[in-house]
Amino acid sequence: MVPRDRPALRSIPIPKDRRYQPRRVGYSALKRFTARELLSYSLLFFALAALLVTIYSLLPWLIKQVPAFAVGGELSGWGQVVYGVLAAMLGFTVVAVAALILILMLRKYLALVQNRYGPLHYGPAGAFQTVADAIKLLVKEDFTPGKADRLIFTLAPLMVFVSALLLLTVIPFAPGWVLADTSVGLIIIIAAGTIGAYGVLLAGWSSENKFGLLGGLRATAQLISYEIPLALSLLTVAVWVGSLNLSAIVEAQRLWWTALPLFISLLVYLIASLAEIKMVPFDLPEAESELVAGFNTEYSGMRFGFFFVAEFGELFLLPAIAVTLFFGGYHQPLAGWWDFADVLRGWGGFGEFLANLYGLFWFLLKTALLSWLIMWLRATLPRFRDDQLMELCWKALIPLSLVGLVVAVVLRLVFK
Amino acid sequence: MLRPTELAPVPGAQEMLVNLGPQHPATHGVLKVVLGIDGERVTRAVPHIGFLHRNHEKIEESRTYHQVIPYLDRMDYVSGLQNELPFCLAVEELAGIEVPERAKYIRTALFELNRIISHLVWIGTYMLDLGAITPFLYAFRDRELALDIVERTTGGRMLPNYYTFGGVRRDINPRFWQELTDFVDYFEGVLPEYEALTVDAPVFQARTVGIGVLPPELAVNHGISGPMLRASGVAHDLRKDQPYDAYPWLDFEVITRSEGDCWARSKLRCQEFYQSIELIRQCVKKAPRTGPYLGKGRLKIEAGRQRYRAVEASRGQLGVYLYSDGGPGPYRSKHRSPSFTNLQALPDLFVGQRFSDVIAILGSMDIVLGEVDR
Amino acid sequence: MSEITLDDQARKLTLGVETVYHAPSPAAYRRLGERLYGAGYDFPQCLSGVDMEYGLRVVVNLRRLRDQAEVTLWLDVPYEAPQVPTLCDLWGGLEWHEREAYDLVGLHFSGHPDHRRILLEDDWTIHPLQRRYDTGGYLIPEWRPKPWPEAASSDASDQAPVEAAEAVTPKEAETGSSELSQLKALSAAFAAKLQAQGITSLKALAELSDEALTPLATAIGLKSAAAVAKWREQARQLQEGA
Repeated sequence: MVPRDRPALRSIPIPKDRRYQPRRVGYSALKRFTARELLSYSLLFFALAALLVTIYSLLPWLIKQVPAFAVGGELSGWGQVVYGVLAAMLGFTVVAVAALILILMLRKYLALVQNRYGPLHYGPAGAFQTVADAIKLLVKEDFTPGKADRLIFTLAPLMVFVSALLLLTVIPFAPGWVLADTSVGLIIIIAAGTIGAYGVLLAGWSSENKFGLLGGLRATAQLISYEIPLALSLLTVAVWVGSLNLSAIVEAQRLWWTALPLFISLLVYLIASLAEIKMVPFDLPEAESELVAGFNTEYSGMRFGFFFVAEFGELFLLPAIAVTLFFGGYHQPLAGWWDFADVLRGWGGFGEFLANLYGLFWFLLKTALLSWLIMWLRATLPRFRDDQLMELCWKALIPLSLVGLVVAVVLRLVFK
Repeated sequence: MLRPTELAPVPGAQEMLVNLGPQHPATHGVLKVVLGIDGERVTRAVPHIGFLHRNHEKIEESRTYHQVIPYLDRMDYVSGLQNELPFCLAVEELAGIEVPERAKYIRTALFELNRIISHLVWIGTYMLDLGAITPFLYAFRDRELALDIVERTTGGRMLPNYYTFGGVRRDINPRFWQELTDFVDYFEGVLPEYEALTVDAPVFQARTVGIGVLPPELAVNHGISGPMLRASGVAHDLRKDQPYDAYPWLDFEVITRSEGDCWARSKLRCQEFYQSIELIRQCVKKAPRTGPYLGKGRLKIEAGRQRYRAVEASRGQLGVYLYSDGGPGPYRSKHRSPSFTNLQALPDLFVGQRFSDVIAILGSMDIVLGEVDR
Repeated sequence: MSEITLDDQARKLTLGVETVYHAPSPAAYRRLGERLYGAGYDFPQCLSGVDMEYGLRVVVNLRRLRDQAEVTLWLDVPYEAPQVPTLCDLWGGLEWHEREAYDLVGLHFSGHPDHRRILLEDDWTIHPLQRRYDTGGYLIPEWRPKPWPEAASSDASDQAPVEAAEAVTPKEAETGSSELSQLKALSAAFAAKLQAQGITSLKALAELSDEALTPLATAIGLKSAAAVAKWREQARQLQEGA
């Protein structure tokens, strides 16, 4: 219900004098324009993701082509090392691309809600805006505050960034497309979040700035507190499914998604993940209009870029985890009854790849919808005060997550 | 009721001095508040103003009466036309200039429109302080529609320079009343959305209910006026108590709330939106379509005449104390601005509150530094 | 004057009249302030400092919210002794106004808890709003202070006549009405002229005969007798209501 707006644009990017054009009553052409752009960005995202996972899936085959790395049709020791390094770089690329597109989609989505255009200049309809921002951050002067502890000042953003990357390694994008198919994937997720909290604390402390320290302490308190409902809600899934392996959890949701019996835990997880990403309404640590500018006061240039990319990487990854654990991962809805992926697999070798792409499509669609939900909250809500934040965590979410755990145990005893 | 000196250290507390510096991201203007914080509580708050002091009053002493009016727009730059009215009223009352009826209705309609404009700025920036980014853009977009009307009538959006002694400076365009009706009809339709995003939103209520309670006796004793006073339960509205322009002929009630906290002030300002819409509608209905827009009268005030005249601006009681010595311009014109007087309550409102509530309270006071510093 | 309907007129009269008090000395100023506070003037509107070229003046505007009565209180002090007792222990809202009067005009308020400059920097040397400085802040070399005016020739004002400060009792401060001021409430500009023509009270106005309306109107400078008739009607209604 935003005001009826100007007539449609004929050419991008900047319309001519808007002042004396008559207002047209009806649907806003501005919003149609921006919605079109959002759709095209989503398609771009899927195309890029498809490209990356295609490379990923071809990676073992590619490495086996080099005779030194292949021993009898399997990867040798060195081959596995190379595979690991290349896969990790691929993972980093995935996170970076995801963050890049999500930043752009956030800005465009906010613009859509706020009846404005968003980034328009760089690239077709502003698609390269994030690249321009990254270049800007790279060419900034790299300095460390005089009295700061240089080693920790440099390490802190890296810790936050690496913790975001760690989350990537255990998420199954498609059947068999996991970077590290460990049997304790869920524990890795919880642990990665903890490393991130430590990085934030060190960032605030090493800034030698009392405002930064205050912000860092507040942020750390928030992150550590919200780890508990996060972990508890994740563990309820493990209780219900009976395994900590994420691929097994996804496979167990072939027919019914975990969200149906465990909706309490889903709710707790969604709210706790908002706090972990430090997104509105929990973005007090990095809020600019509060007095204290936050733990990343003293960081500029690419150091700040690490925090930024980590935050938006988590904006992709935490909903991805939610999708994996609660919404069936890469399965289409009601895959237990009729799955189009099985149809695709029936076509032979290439069909396997197509079935995986189909699964990837569903995975990304669900993740995008959850990310959109978070962006929607960002556009709408004001932020909580920090004591209200803490109150919400300790007095509401933790009891609720314990209730969810009990529900999971009871349901498992009843149904299995 | 003397307060202890603000500069003396508070005994027993280990406080850290923090600058809510002259440059805020929270856009109130250049205001510096030195806060002493002990843990989470504020123990001391000393506001420092004067960063925007342009010495209007000295300049106006060497101008003629007509030349003073453009300077007045610069005081509260958010609502331009409201600043001109008390000065025009004071001079009209001293010099005996009649204001024709049509001019009164025009002035009143634009005055209420400026109230809507000013409250839209308030709601946008207040939500921005609290973290919601979208109402800011909605408010400023709707404000553009209102500013279009102001611009077509007066020639300027921010600094209109339109009211003059005896009426208004030039005639309105033929579609003025229709434009007002269109805007008001549209705006009334989107107001429920504003309220849902702001005063009815649970997060906003969690941030503002019970915060910054202003007791009514303190408010009256400190000369606080406007929505801050009415939200504490005191029904003082100069449009009713000392009516001017077309207000004697308009039918409205003074809105009050009894809680006195930040939420009450916000809710009151939202209700004032509705009230302004109603007043504009009444003006449109009752205004004569023909008649002079400028009254006749000699602008000659005898030496020694003085007058304090105040109006109910969007922030409170905006007044002018005018002393004349018979010359072509004012001998002394002191502007009593509501934000200046309301800001005196800042130490009382801040001390003892949580540090995170400081921004919420400051936003609910709705100050504009242009009129604080003049 | 702006057209005021009868209802507003009646309200204004029964609610009290605007009065002005000219304090002859700082002590009287302080006493008057306390009496006015005791009389129920609870809302401080404004405190201004004026440089009168023979001295400095502080003007206080107060309001009583109960019946919307306004009162003005002023005090003249010489340049050499610009000390004025503070009123901000009675009304906290005058605190910053007094600081501003000190800052810009140079009045010193004895007893003020936080007596420092407010708008200008703390170490600013001059008080810019004084007439000896020009708009740029430079001293005007040919400026000389004027001589102090005698007590008889006080400034004409359009409110009630200046009353001797010592004679004001709280009861008078409360009602504060004189006949002339009631006439002035009806029409401030013409009250003096009516008085000159011999109409000194509402009663006299109410008892005007119809034939006397037109000559009276011509005598005081109105084109038609309609306004005088209206005032007469209002005076009659007020007499009945009183």
